[in-house]
Amino acid sequence: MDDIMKKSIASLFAITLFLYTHSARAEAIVVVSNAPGSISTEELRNIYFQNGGRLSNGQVVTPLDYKEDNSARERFYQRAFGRSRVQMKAYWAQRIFTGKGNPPQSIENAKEAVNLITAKSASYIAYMNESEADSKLAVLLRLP
Amino acid sequence: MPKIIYLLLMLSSASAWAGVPTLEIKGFGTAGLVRADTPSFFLPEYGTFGQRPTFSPNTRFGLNVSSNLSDGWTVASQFIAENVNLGYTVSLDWGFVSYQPIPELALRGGRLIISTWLFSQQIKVGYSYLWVRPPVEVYSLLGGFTNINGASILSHLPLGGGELSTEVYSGLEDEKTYTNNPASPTSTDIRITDLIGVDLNYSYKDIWTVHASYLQARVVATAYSQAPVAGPIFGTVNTPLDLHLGRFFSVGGKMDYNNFIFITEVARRLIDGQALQTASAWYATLGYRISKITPYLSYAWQGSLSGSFYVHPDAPTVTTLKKELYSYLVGVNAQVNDSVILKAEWEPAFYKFIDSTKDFRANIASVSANFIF
Repeated sequence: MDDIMKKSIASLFAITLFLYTHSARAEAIVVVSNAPGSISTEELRNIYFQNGGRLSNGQVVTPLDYKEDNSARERFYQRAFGRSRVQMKAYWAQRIFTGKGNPPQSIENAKEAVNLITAKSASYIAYMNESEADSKLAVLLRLP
Repeated sequence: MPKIIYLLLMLSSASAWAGVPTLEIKGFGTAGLVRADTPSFFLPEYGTFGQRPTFSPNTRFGLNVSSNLSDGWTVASQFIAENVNLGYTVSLDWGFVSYQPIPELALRGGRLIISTWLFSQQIKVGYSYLWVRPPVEVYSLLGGFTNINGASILSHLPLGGGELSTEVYSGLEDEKTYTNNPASPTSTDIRITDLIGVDLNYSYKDIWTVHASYLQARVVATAYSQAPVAGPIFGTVNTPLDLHLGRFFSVGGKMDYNNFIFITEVARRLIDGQALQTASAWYATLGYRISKITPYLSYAWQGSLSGSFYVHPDAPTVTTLKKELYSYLVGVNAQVNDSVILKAEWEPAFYKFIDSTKDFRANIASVSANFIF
């Protein structure tokens, strides 16, 4: 009986873990700003890889990023640009140590991004899990 | 040291004391061992070494301090500790003030690295390229000339799904280079004026990059022997030997696709001087990335019809004219983690001289640990 119980708990745990990781993997990343519109991955790349740029309507935007251990960050770079954390670190090492520029400003979490985008007159662009996007934000791009 | 560099350092310090939140301090380093199978071997830009493994030609540490100020102003500086001038010294590698009025345009002033090659901007950051050192046949074509005190205009434009970067620069440089040969230390003062250059760089999603560069400058070179018994290297001590308009061209590219890495550059130096002669060089490198390990092969060549200055290791107090040098290279690059890369290379190098009796070959073995923090 004990063995059956143990196996049942283990199976339940495995299924829960699978569903949890599957749902986390499936959650979309959205790119958000304070003004409605859209953005292509190429435009997004220029903005994030140059730490600043323009939207297609000419508006200058400043990108916000998260610290390296943020899970949304890893998924964002992989889905938008096909780049891993190691590759991004190497890219920014090359930029920093050649004086070509620093990476985007790092913030703690999506809540801080929402506050910065909605409170400041400066134009910020950020990404976050779809579930974290505030209704006041405009979704420019969805990365499933 | 130019006043602008003092100003830059003051600005950096002031930013730090003011607690500017965007102040960034990063570091990098390379610890490298190198040896040759000949008693003495002079590698251009890296100095002399022999059969005993030595750290000095490939070991350096760097510290990068930068701060994004308000309204598009940035100050950035980088300091290097390395074995130059016959001993380890700390020097300002580059440092500038930058103003970026719009995202596509930046103006810089201060001590700049010029982008004559694909990897010239990051040549001291071993972590950022494939080899232990970029091929010396090509990267030594301008001697030790890598920096200027001057200004540049830098633009970035999205183009065809990629990015086109253009930099136009002007400035001057007064530099002393050393052969770093303990048996016969020699130095060369190189004064470069009236310099103007342009670099074009097109990068497509980091899959491939194409780079082209042109610069011209007036060059005065004066060489000295520091050995008590030796005479001047060229002509008379303290007498400028070259006062010429030099021109330089380079074209190169890099492709990183489906784990294949291909890098090539071709360059030509046009100058008709006594210490520097017209010369051409090229290299090609092919690598294949297997997970975090990248084995690679490379071939590099430099040649000069009229010969160019070289301190021969067999007779270090006598200069001789080098006609051709080339090398084959097999190496491996291993990414240990996000911050550390190990590299190992074996390189048979061949030197041909106008006087063919001085021809020689050396096998160079190099290993290095490269890190960033």
